[in-house]
Amino acid sequence: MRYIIYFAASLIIFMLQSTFGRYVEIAGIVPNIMLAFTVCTAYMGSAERGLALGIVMGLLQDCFFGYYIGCNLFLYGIIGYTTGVLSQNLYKDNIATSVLFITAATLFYNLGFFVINILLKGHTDISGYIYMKILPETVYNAIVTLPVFYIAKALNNISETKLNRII
Amino acid sequence: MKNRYKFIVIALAVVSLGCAGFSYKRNMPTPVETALGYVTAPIQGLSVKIIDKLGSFTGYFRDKGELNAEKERLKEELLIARAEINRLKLIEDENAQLDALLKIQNSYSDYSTIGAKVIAKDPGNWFSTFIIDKGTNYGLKKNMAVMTADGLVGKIRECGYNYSKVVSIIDDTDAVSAQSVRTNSIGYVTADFSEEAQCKMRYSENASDILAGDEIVTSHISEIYPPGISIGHVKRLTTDDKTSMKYAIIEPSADFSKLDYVLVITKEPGYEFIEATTESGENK
Repeated sequence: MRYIIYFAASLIIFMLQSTFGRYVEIAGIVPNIMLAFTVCTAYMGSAERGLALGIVMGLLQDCFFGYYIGCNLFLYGIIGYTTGVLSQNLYKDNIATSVLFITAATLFYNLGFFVINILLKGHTDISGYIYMKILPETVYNAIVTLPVFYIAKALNNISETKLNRII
Repeated sequence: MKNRYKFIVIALAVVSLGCAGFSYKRNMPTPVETALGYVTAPIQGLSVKIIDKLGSFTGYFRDKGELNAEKERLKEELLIARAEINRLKLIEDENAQLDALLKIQNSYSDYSTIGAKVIAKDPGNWFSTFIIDKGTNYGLKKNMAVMTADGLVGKIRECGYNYSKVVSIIDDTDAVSAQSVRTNSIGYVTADFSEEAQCKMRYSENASDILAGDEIVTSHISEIYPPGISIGHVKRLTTDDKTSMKYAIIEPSADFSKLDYVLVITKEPGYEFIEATTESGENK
């Protein structure tokens, strides 16, 4: 049951991101709800849940929009798992901590993406990317985390209820 | 715990690399992708429809005066466009006569197009890939050119049954063979991330007579894109600091931030090229 809930949620969030995303863009920058959801869920749940959700999210994005499959799978997977491992001994209901995690995750994701897809192709100039893409998205993601945190919290509560044990 | 972390990261890297190697330059989407796309494309189309309905609902209450002004403006534009069409018809007739005299194959033939709706866009901010709501069910194929009324948008990278993945010309993974209308100098257009949503054109040294304001169109040497589709206008010329190569910053004709409907040119890539060579062979 828990798996079905999370798989359905990730599909819905992916579709929201890809269809409604372009209506909330500011100066060509779209917030990454998928990354925010992955990080929030991994922060509240276990490392394994973060890893599984990250892999599903990355696979979805790679399947639909990637030139090849693997880049987002790797980055989302690592981000989900690492967030889960780092937040093991932390208090799980603090929104400020999740904002901190999403900031770090966005920086890591974008730098990783730059290294895998741009730097290895021979384009070494990163300054333009940092100012035009990475920093604005980091700020935007941190803002978007506030609603996403509560969605992730609600889902976390549903998956921990008695209903889950019955089915 | 630490060993376990290392193990999982390494396993993830190996799996990703395997997937990348397997899927790199695939011609057809894998069955899993096709199935996923088959399910999600209608839902994405529906959500875009809902947004459109909401937009038209608010538009209903918009200022009447604004609409009237727009009506007048459009009437004027229609008149100008009609005059232009008449003029172009005359030129086309004249051109046909001259062509008949010269007995040359008309390489700028009409394109047959299919309209399609944009239903989803790449979640990330890096690349510019989007999905349209028609696929092999409408006869679309890989490498067909995609454009709007304003200019070139990109080409189809993958076709599913009821969706197609379009890679745009402002995407870093693709390049378009292009030429300047004024000077006929050939080059190629790729993405440029240093400025907002723009492309750049690199060209050979002898073609450095391109100036700001020149129109750039698709070139006749491309086998994917039909010749003569507008790509954009040269905004300014710059020089690469490291390689000291000149390149032109290009403002694309198509508005990539407001892509709703696109036109797909349903002509098989390379088809005209083959036909033209056999024709000329026969003529000899």
